[in-house]
Amino acid sequence: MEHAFLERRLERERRARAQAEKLLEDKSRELFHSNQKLLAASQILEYQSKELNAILDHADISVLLVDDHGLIQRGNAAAAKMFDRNPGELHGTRVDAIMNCSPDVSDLEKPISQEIVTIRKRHGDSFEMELSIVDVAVGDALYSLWLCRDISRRVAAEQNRLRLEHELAQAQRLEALGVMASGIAHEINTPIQYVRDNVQFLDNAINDLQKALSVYQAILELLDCGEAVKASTVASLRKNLVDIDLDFILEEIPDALVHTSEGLEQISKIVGAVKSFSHPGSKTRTPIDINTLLNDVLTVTRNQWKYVAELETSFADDIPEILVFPSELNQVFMNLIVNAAHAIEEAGRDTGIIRAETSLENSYVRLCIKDNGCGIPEENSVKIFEPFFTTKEVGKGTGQGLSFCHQIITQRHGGKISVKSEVDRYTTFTIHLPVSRSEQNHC
Amino acid sequence: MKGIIFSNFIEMIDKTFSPEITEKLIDEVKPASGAAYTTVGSYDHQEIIDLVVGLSELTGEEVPTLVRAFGTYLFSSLGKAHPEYVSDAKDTFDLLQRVHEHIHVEVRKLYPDAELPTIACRVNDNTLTLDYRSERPFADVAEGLIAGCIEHFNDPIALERTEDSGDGTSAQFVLKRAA
Repeated sequence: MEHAFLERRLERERRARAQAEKLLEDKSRELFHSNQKLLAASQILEYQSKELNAILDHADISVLLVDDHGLIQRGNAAAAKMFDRNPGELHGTRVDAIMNCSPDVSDLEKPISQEIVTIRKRHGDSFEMELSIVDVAVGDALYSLWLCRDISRRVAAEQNRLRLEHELAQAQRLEALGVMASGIAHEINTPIQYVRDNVQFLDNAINDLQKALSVYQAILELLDCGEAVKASTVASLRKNLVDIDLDFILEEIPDALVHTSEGLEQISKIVGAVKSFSHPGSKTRTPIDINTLLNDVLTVTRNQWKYVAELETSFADDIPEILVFPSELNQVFMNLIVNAAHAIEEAGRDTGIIRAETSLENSYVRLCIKDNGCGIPEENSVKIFEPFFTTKEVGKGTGQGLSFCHQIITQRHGGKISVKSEVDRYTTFTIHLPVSRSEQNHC
Repeated sequence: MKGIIFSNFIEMIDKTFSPEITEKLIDEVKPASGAAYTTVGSYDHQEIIDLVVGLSELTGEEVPTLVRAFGTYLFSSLGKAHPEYVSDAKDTFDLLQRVHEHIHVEVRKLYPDAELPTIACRVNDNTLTLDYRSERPFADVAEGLIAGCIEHFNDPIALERTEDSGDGTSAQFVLKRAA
């Protein structure tokens, strides 16, 4: 080949090599940058992994990642501690081997959200746990994520709270009784007064009758002995009968007995109502005639309203007994009635009226407490069931009463309570209580 | 298009015709790259089309004939450069079925920007049907490659192009193995 020909080929090869070298450099640079990016991504991933591990290991909740064969692939420190395992021991363990719980997890429909189960630990202790199980996809693999929270402290706190609430309600009832004690004493004192008067009358009447009877007895003895009864003796007897006013005594004794009986019955009714009102109540619902319950509260609170209002009642007689917490409803009715009396007092009415009604509305018992007192401004109507809301002067109300009523009616009895009012005209509280109430967990 | 195709084409002209023909062709076609091809570079595919047309004019051979011959040469050359792909296959059918799923995957590892054709194979008894689709008009190169493959394995296979888009971008090849 000619020299020029070879030179030409050589030149082309040189240029091809220069291109290849340039490409190699570019590729090397690209590779370097890719490596840098990979390194940075790897560092970020490593940091995120550490961060995630730190979060998982310091989380106050047990986290288990379980594969579709039921084997634990990952568990955090809280899980190891909760299930009495060493760190690392969880990996590869069957989840049902550590979840010895009641109800059995396999009986629960998944996904499970915050189901409360009782776990028996390896060494026999048991505790209550909130369990959630959700399906998660990691790449193409399917796992379930088990989130377990030990709620034993929360359960204990809740039980304590319920106990305190119960004690508080009881204290409130007793406090209300304390406030009403003088009124109740007065209510009892009135019938006692006329019972005592009547007993006094009967005592005097019996003494007089005994005197008259002793003269009759003497006359009878003389007649028995065949002796003549002196005219003076008969005259003495007649005078005695006039002195004691026998006609009056004979006429009044039955009335005195009836009034005494009525007085005793009234006292018995007041004592019964106080006893019913102050009963600490049971933890389960009791079948109750709602009319009787409301009547008892009206009796106990009579001294609170009788000076400011007349009472009108309209109790339906077709209301069946319903399952309620009687002592709690007592508290509700008392709050509403005392509030009604206060509203009438505030309005300064000459003719205050408190009207208590009961009726049956479909599957609900409807109760209304209506008064013609000062009413509630519209802007306050929406807030009256909020805790600590009160318009009463300091020391007269804590603002807990109606909030408590709302809680008792809605949460404890699954009922409804509402208010309608017009300023300076009236206020009506309406309560609906379900007739058929199974023992659902509204406690 | 990857430089390996260009450098193999230049190499084929050197060997099949002569280095002088190669130089003359480059002088006449004057490709933009100056024909200084390196296997790892990428060049405009129009250059190879111009070179083939130019070669046809220089040698008097039909373009399709030249292109198929190049395909056959290319198979041989690539087989020597990467013997593992060829030696792993037991015969023509086996190798052709590996092209898309294995060989092209390996090509992409080296050249992520490579624009590869789509090769779909169906085997029914002694017949393999291969569908070729490409952005470029190189169905003749594909035919030459298949022919090179048959030649390499010395298989008793009759190759037939049954469908053709007319512009070389898609074609169907039927390979019948003699019973």
